[in-house]
Amino acid sequence: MEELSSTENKISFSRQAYNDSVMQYNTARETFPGNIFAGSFNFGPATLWEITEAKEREAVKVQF
Amino acid sequence: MGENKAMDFFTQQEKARKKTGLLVFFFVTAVLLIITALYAAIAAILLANKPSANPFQPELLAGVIGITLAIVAAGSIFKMQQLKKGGCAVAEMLCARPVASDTKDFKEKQLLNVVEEMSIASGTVMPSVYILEEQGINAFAAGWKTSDAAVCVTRGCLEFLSRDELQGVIAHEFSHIFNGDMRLNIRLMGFIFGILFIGQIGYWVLRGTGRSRGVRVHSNKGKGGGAGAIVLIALAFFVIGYIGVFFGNLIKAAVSRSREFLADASAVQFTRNPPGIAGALKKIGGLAGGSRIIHHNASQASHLFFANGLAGFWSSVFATHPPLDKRIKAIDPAFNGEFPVVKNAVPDDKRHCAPAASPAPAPKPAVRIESALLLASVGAPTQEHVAYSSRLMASIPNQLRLGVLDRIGAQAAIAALLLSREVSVRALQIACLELADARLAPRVTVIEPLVLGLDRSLYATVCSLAINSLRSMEQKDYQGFSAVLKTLVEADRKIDLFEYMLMRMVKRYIEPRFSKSARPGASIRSIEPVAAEISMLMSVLSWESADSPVQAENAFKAGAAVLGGSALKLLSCERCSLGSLDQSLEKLDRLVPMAKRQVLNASVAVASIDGLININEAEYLRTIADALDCPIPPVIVS
Repeated sequence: MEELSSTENKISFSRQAYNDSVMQYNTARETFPGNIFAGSFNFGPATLWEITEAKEREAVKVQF
Repeated sequence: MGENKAMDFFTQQEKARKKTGLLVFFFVTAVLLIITALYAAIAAILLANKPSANPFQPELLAGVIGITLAIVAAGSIFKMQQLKKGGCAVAEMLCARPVASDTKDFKEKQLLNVVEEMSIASGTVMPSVYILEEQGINAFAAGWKTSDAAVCVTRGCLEFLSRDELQGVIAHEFSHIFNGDMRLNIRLMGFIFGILFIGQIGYWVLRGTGRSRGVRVHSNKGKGGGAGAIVLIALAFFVIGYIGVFFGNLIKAAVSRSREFLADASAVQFTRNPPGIAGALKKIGGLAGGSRIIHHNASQASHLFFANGLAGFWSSVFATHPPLDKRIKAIDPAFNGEFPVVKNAVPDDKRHCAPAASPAPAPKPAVRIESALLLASVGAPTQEHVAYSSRLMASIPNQLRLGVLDRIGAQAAIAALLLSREVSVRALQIACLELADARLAPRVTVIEPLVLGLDRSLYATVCSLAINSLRSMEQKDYQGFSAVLKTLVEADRKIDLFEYMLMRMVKRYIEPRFSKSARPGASIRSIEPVAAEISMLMSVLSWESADSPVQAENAFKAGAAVLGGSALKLLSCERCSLGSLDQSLEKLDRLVPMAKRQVLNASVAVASIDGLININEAEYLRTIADALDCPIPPVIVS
């Protein structure tokens, strides 16, 4: 059980860390002074990692 | 989550960073003051021996500066050399034991897992993990760089804290690693030791001369003056050194204290779970030994710990950490100052339980809600809210809970909630249902008796359960369903608060999936352009909370005073309808977060004009706050 919850946490924290960085990057890109240079140096917006398909969001059934 | 909360977090991070720079500056000043004091003392001693001498002697000053800096530098370099290995050196200084990665102990394995999770969440490498065999709840992170960092927790941490709380503590420590605090801390350890070294040298000289004078006291009369001067200078070193340490400790405490709030905030950022770290802090408050560390080297590392490691007479001045209740309040504004009692021996099966919530208040006829508390809880559900929600869940009959899991059942439950108690209206509603969807009507009749038995306060919970299962709905199903809802709501030709709330919830949580157009951004910067909308909002609330026009006028004035706008005007009772409130809210949603906060403040002021907020007003406030995207957790009714 502990291993399961730890693995699940690791996955969600990885996603969270990634999304936090994306948010930070996007904010820096859109605020002064980054917004002046971002466009001309081809720093495009980054996309958040999200699950779009409803099926993938469903809880996984676990059986021992 | 409210945007303003996020903003507060980032401004705090910035503030703490600036403050640290200021405190480092103070530290340099302290060293300069020590030099001045030493020079003054030595000059005074020399003057006393030779009254004719010039009090200002550049060579002497240069000598004092050189010697002091040399001593401080030597002490610091010595200590830093000792700590060069990084976090492991600090951990071993306190006799901590490294945790093996293949440990068989469940608690130790869990600790390793939690540390690994947090290293992922904060994006740093996995540090070495140590355990300190102490019963207090405490932890520290030390090191120069992220690569040589070590995280160390006490045995008490593993014994008394739940997994979530341990995660909070570890996340706090990771913030110290991540924000570079531990580098500053380990430097501080070196500097403090350097200053301590001045005092130490004074002490050695004093002892040395004392001993030698004891042997040669009779044969040395001629040079008594010189020896006396040396003793006095040594004494000056000793006293000034220790005064330096005194101020050094104050600075150490202040540097550390200002970083702790930041670390707590970052812990919330990493775990997204405020109850975890708040629970850990509460347990420290509730545990008899608290966060005490007994090891004799603990004082050197006191500023590294998770909570105050030392106790004693001076502990409030030298406290390296802010008071527990302040730290808890910063995370959990609803904290009432009572710590749960933590027993020294926690049975295994209780270990994973949430900390004991404060005893529920006795049932009261009217709900008294502190308006400040209500506002503080915006976007910040606490442990109590979570516990309350699970109690609410538990009081919903199983059959109903399982019934709303499928889409038809969920639609039926919402429809059943909307059925009128009036027979004629109800008949009309049922007829509409049968026309709209043949599958729906029979389910409604099954679910209706279950819903009728429910307490009023559970309606919102059932709605949110049902809406949860409706989220995966197809667009054409949703269009049909929302048409049905509309006819059900309008069957009695009026919309009451509950119907309005329900419609809003459905619209808000399901509709955005289908509409491609993004929500309009926060484009209205001040409250002046939307004075008419705010007037509408506050008028609805005023009439809701008042029994007479005079009271309504007073309530409205209280709200207007909060906003300070002169353009606000109480609308007559007839003009206040939920339809126009809805339009006003749509517009107000485009306010910037700080303005929203003002509007919410004013709304709470209006609703709490009679000193308390009743359940109806609370539901209004929740609806308003929800429409403004600043969700308030459920109001706790015992």
